[in-house]
Amino acid sequence: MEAVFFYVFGTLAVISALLTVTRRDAVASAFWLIFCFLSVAALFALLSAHFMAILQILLYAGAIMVFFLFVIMFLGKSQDRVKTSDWRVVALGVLSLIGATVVLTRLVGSTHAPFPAVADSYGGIEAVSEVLLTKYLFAFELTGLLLTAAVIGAVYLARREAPGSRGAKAPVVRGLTSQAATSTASSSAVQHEDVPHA
Amino acid sequence: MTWSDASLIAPILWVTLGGVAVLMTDAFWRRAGTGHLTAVSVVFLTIAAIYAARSDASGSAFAGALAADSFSAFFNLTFIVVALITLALGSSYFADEEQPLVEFFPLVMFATVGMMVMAAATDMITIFLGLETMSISLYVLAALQRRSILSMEAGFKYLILGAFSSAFLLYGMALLYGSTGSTHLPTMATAIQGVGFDRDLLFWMGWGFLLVGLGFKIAMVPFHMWTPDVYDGSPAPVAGFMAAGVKAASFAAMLRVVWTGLPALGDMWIDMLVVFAVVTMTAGNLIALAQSNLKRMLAYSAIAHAGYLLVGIVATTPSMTDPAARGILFYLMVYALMNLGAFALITLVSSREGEKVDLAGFAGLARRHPVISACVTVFMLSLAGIPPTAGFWGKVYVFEAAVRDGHTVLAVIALLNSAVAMFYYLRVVVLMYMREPEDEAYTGLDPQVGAAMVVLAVALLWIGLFPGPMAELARQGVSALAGSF
Repeated sequence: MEAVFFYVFGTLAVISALLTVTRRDAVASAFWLIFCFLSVAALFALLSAHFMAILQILLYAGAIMVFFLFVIMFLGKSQDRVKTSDWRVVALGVLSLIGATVVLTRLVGSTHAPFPAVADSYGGIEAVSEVLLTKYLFAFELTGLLLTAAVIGAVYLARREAPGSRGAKAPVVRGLTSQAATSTASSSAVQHEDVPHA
Repeated sequence: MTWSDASLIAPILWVTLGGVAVLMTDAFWRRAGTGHLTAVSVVFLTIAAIYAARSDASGSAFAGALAADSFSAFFNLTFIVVALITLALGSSYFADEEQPLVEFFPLVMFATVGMMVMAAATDMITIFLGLETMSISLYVLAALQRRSILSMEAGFKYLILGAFSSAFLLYGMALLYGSTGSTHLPTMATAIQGVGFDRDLLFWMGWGFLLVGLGFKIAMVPFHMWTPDVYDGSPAPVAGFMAAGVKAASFAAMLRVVWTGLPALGDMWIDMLVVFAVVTMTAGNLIALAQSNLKRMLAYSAIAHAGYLLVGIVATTPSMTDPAARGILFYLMVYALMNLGAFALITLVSSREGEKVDLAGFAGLARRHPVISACVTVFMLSLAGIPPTAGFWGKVYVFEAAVRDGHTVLAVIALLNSAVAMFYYLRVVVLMYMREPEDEAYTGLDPQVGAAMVVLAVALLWIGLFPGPMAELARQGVSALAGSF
């Protein structure tokens, strides 16, 4: 029974992933990607990794894809659609696909490590959180620091310089000749004005 | 977490606290200039340095996530020194802008934490998180001058390529986990022993990807393409921080992985590493010859030095002899000091006149600033490896170990490379002393940066004349890992 579900969801994941990269419409691609994420979530659930399955749906299929779609729709559909790929690109893709398949099939089962069988509760919220706060406590805390640094960076880079605030004087572009500097600086200043509205 | 876990990683905790404290200082006590932020950062870094220097406790902390030993203590001290000098260079450099770039301070502190974690990590997960903490802070630091198009380009390029290399690293770690059943380096070492790993594709693919990920950070050819553009676009103090800190941290993580995690594999991948070492130093030196921009020249010189350090790793791996290992640590420390010195010169020259770092900008510098020129001469001689500077001993230790280990050809190639490198390092000295100053040449003087340069030059000369104490420190650092040899 489990095998049946595995093949069903596995096939769905592969097909939707293929559709994601072949659709020309960005919105359609994004929706197929959501479908792909949902199928992978089902695979996680089959592996009794319930927590991962929930996260996959909440974070990837939910939050991140909403973000994707938001950006796509915000930027608007581009008029000139992506051109049909060069045959060389397609050939390269097929070749790498064959290569990856050969390597991956050889990799499957080649481990020497003794992986013990696990209980059904292995991937549950309780089990994951227990490991997270005992064995991987340092990694957990360090992730907090990493995100703090990322937030500082994001806030700094996306911050809008309000007129009249300190630093809102004439822009200085280093390393360019003066004429190029003024033109680029004014365009980059406009850009900065636009960013926060996004 | 117990109290002993926390006390084992006290230097890391103090630097983290310093980063948070400097953020809070800026939020609640906003004033003109950056002096108060520098003071807060320096206080916390000094406390961390005292803890790092006095630590005699050693052991594994947080269920094997990281270890406190003399190896991590050596690198903790290195990173704290690098951070202190970076702050000395950056605080006046960024205060010059119309808006002081206060984000510089917490990001340097957090990047330092990431470096310290990388050197102490004994688990692949911790290595990865340390590397990401360091990298994310540096992506932002590279793009710190938001209105400079070059700085934005540097940050963006570093972010995209860095994320790509991190993916390689993470994939490699996943494959190694699949192959050995653990992310804990000592456990991996025991898993490897006894089983024939020489024909295990899963293991070798994992190891290869891991090498790509780390090779990107140390600017190993052919993963070096980002280096010149990122160094060139980044603000000068940040570029110096990158050159000194990132290289030392990535080599520290590499040494941990090689010595603790995979000690049994020496002979199998050594040939591959010999090729990488030769290509890296030759490409770096040859391209550096053609540079007319000092920042790009130093970027290619950084690539060449990565090649010399790889020679050191080649020499240590199979027999795990002590001198070569000691040489790498010594070299990394000295390399950090002389590179910071060279980037201090760029900080000095570029802070008042835009990013004027063309080699012609230094012409005749000796007439106006004899002391600064003397310091720069020491840095360049040290980078070239000429006695009586510290860079000479770094090369002696590494190359001698390579010869003793039977890699005579490799050592000869490295020596030839050093000879080529002398040309472009000494060209700077010649320009300073033997040319007439041009109109655009640098005239001002920033006392803080000048003081940092004098301190660095004296330190390099001191280590060059009396290499004993530093070599002993490096030997102690290595001895922590010697048990696993």
